[in-house]
Amino acid sequence: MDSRIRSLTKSKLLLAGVFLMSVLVILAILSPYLTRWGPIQVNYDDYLSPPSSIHPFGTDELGRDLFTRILFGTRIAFRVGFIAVAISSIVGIPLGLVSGYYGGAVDMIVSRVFDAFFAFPFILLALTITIILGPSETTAMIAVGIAYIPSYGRIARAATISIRGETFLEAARAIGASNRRIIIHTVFPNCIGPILVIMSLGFGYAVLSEAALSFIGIGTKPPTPAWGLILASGKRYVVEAPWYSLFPGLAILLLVLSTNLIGEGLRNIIEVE
Amino acid sequence: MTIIGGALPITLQLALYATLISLFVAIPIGIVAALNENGWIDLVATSGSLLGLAIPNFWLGIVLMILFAVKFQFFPPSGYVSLGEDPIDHFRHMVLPSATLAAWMVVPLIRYLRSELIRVLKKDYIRTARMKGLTELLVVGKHAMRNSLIPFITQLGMLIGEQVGGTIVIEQVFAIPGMGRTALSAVFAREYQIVMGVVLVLAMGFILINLVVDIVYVFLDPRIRIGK
Repeated sequence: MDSRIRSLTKSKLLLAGVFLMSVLVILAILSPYLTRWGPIQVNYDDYLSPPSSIHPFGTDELGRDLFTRILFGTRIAFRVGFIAVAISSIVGIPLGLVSGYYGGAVDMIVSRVFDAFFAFPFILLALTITIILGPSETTAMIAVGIAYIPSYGRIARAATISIRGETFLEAARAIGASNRRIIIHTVFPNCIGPILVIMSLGFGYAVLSEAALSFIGIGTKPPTPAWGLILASGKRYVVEAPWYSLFPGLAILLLVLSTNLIGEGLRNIIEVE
Repeated sequence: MTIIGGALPITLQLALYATLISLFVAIPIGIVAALNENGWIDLVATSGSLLGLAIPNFWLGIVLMILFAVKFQFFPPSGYVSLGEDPIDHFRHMVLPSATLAAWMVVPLIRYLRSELIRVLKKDYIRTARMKGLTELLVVGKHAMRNSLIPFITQLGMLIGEQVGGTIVIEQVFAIPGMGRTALSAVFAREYQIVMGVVLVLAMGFILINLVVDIVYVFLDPRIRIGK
């Protein structure tokens, strides 16, 4: 246990990522206490003003304080990320585990389905789901979640296949454990490494994807302060107020960077083992 | 039908320029990074990749727009001019969007080329080539590259397929009337036929690209023959 913690701290990537992530989490939780404005509080007199001491990031076209909006956007980003990753994992990982474990016909069918999904460009998939469900934050979450199912499934499947021949599996079967029990208690814990990696990386990509969807208008609806939406408005006023677009993008960048660092850091640790 | 017909070449041009730009940038950097493994270029490239993957490409587009079109008025911020009308203006309009799209493709390409090249350079036949006295240029340029190209091209094909998502967003940012924009407006206007048409064309394009990739395989690796 001791050496595990030591190797965890040895990875500077991981530490940097965790640090950055913690900062963002704290900002998300403490959002209401950090500013005196509300996220959708308008002030028609003071619109599109540049960064100042009252408005650290400036104001948008309705006079809303951008710093507050971006701060509250952190909460949305985390919400979306969690639910999207949850959907992808809950559906994808068991499918991958089962497909890798049993092999044969099951494996073929599942793999083909994964390939089909995978080949489909993400945005088109999201577009289709949005047409059916109507644009909203929830739709974006579901769309992103579904779109990334094959990625999670593939990793789970690959990890399962790589330990298929191991003796401890044979041993488990020899003492009469049912297949279900083996998968849950033996196979799954051994695949945790790669799964954790893709969960971290996937979180970042989920946030990025949702931002893209909101940006083109098929995701979260205004006036919710989603980062993608703020960017979209920022683009409209890029000539009069260039600072408007700068900060939401930076926010997205920082969040995804933190998840990438964590994911890469985890990957380095796992590969050493 | 004609709506898609008008929009398709525009998107194709965008995709083509972006691919070319990204190849021009990614291949040299990838090769240099692989040759100087753990040298400073390599470290910059690998750490840059983490950052690069985190940058939202639509934001990058806007930032580029702010820098080059608003601050320094080099390129027009949006719109499209067809090649037939005015070639110079056409390229002026296409620089920023293509660059943005390319930036997003460059990172995975560098990563992939670098890791493949590193793997190939350790092989025995490279050592043989060097012992034979071949110049480094020949060893790397011909033998090493030839062998790393196959997986690289597969990846490139996949990336081109994924480009679709990128084009939709970038067309939105730079107000380019391509397929992405068309599809989007169709979704909002509930014009399902257009959306279906776009999806169909894009799917066909994807299949076509994969076909081309497979054909290129034959040229790259003499062991693979059609019908084998």
